[in-house]
Amino acid sequence: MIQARRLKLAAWAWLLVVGVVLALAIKSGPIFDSSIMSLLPKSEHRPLVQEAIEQVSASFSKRLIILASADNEKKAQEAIRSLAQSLAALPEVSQVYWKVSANDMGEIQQALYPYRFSILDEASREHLLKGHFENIQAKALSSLYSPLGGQSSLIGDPFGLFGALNLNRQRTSHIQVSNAFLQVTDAELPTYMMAVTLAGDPFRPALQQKVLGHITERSRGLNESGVTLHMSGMLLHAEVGAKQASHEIMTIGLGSFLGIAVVMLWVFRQLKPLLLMTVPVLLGTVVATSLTMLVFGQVHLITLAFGVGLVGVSIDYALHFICVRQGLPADKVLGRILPGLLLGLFSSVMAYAAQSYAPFPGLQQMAVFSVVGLTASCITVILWFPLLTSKNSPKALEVIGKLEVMRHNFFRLSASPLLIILLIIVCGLSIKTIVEGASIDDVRLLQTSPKSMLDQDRDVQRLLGGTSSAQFLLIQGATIEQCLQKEERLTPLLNEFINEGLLGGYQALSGQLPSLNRQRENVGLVKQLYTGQIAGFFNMLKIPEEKMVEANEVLTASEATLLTSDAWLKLKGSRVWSDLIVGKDNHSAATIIRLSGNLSEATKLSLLKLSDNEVGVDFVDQVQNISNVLASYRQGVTHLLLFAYLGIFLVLALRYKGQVWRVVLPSLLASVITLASLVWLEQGLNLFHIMALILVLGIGLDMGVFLIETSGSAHTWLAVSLSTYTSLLAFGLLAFSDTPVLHHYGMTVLIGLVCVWFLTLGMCKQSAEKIDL
Amino acid sequence: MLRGIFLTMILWSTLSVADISFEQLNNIAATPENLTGQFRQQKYLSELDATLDSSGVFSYQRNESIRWETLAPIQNVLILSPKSIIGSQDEHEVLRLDAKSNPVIGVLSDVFFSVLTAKWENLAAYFSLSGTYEEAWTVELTPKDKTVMQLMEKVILKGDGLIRELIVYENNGDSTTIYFEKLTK
Repeated sequence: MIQARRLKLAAWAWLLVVGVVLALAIKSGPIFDSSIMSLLPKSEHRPLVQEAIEQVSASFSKRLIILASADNEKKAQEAIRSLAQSLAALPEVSQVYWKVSANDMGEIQQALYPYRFSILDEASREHLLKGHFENIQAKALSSLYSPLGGQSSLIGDPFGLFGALNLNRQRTSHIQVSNAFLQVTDAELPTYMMAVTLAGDPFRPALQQKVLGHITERSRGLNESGVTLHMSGMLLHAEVGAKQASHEIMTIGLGSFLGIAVVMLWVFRQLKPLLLMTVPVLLGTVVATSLTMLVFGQVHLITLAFGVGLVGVSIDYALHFICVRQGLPADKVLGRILPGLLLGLFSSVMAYAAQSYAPFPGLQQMAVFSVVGLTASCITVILWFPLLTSKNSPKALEVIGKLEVMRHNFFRLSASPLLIILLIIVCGLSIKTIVEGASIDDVRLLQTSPKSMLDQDRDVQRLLGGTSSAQFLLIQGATIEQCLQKEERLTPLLNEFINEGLLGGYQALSGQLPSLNRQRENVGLVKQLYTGQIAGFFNMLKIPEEKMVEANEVLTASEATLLTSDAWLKLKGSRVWSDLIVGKDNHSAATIIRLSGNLSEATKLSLLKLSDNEVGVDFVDQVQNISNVLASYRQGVTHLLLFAYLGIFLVLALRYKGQVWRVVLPSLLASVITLASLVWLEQGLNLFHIMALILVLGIGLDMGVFLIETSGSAHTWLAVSLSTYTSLLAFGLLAFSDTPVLHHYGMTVLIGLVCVWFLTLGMCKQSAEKIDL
Repeated sequence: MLRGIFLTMILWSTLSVADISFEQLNNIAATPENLTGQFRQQKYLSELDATLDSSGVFSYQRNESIRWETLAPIQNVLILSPKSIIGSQDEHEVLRLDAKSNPVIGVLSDVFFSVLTAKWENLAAYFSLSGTYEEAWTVELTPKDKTVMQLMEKVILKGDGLIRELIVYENNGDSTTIYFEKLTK
């Protein structure tokens, strides 16, 4: 009686603890993070590399490019104007860049005029370097006598160096300013573009709905008038991912819920067990979410997704209690199942906690989440279930008999040497397959976007001569000047790569802003040009000599006019290029060279070699980085899992001695067979397979422990069968998901749980108690 | 009252006599399929207060290309097409401009092309027009397109059946006068 009152007190105290934790979490303000990048470990050794990656991906993820095409210029321009103006009015949009006024255009073009002797276009510089002065003069004469006009001042710039620079810049750009609009030059139809900068995180659903909803609404009207919109940006992928995930959760979730509900009602013939079993899962999830938020400051959505899955194992505890309760009074149940519950909890917690030693923030969060969630669920079952089920009358369940009949008639592994041999062969083949099998750690695992969207993205990027945000060269030096000098040593090599077809193109700061060194060199070359050519040139034009003297004086006066990086940054036209500078303080500076085109393995190797040869140059390949991270996560989790299970095995061996194989072997064999099947079916293993395996192992070990603890009781057999069934429905159905991550997870659970159940059936101890059939 | 109507009538009639529209020009100014001839060009450079004289021959195929060959004082060939401008000296290419990647060149080329080939409807997109027509016509083109406005202040065209004279006034005070001679269709 006293014990019962204590239990009651403890139950209410537990509820209070849950309430307090929840209140604290709500007070701290729930933050859900969904960026995949925040799950990856920070590169500790190279903070500047990390900073560069973050800056590049941050500015990339907030940008949305929209192209409008139509069969005539006016229509396309009008579409851009109206859409840009309405988007700019949204609070979710911080900036829309879609026009350059005639004034700005003039200002941008003229801004470099003072530097016409120090900043030269590539071709002019080449001619000067080779001493081909006559080519420069020929060009100047051609322009001077051209009926089209537009030549520059004969005194200020007789050889038209500034004109050549401007022409070259325009030619190499994929965007031209036409009637103040930004026209895409390589498109077939008249096409204009705008660049939208979002005010917030593109992964925020509210922002997605508002911005994309607005665009969709406008695009309908535009489509009718013959304007087509093409878009590219992280926002689109984020939205598609979110939509797909929520759609699948709706359909798959609904399917599994119905499946579970129908079977539970059929087995127990009442609603209460169904409601009961959701209580610990729900409470476990709430406590886990709250505590994770308090510990880490936020919960990642992926942690939540997988974490809920792992906490879902706790349905084992509830079912175990409910099933055994069918044959025993409420106050007797706990005494019977407590050792099993605690051992089951121990094995799962060990396995989950192992993840926290991995150096990945994502896994640590997930470990905390699942350990806390499982423990909270278990406590809820232990403290609350006796109270909640005290009034139920024990009931014989028809289904128990059926399951028992099945269990008795099923093959007994111990009774069939042939089966044992077969199993050994399967096991051997499986291990061989796993060892020989490949692993897939491709970044595409994380991609959720359909092909059509990726194609559209690529089209837009191609038209804009877009460069990858994930692959670039990082150049570090003490000053920007040093970086620029390094870039200038690299660019001739990159040009060679382009000529060899290894590289599509590149964008480098030094292409816009030559190093001061280079600028001084250029001025020197121009001085040679003047010395050699100007007299003859002016003579030919019959221009009086004093004008030539004037021209020479202009050059001498501008000799020291060099464009510093600070001055360059202040120019209006520099804005589009300024994100090539990724770091600058008093001691260090860093720039990036963006690369475009599909980089082959050969290209990557060449780029790596190139960066090895120059100090302070790194080839950053974020695609490869993510793949590496996925690979090391996979290896890390696999190793930790092996160690955890070795520990669990030792503890269980102490308790069960010679019978321990009955507990451990089904899970172990099922894992091996599952992994081999996955290698075979999905061409290789990845991190998400291994993550799902934790769930399979957890359920498998629970099964073994519960069965051996209750000496193979029929009620327990029902409990573990039901729990296998519910997990199979809840997670195995994810195998039908189109989201790669969920699909891999589901596949593993599907195969794994089926194997575990059959193997347990074949290996568990036969029921000792007599069952009323 | 009567005087008012009379005045209006006079004004109307004056306008219709003096003014000229792109449509009318289409009727007056011939647009031959092919045209060859000689040109004299005077380029006035305000900065030096000097004029650069040059001369040469030209030929055009309507809608295709103009070959503009300067013979004196330098040898220079310009081939203009609606898509590009290519300049060469002694068979060496010294200039290649793609209209697609360079809006200014595109407009300039289009304007020049339209002037020489009398594509008036094309010019209407860039300029507003005023002019007189008696035996010969004189047309003044004032840019209304922003790109053209940056390039030139105005263009004056003179001709009878064919174009005889072209003057382009640039914003910086420079001007280019071209006389067309010995035109043969």
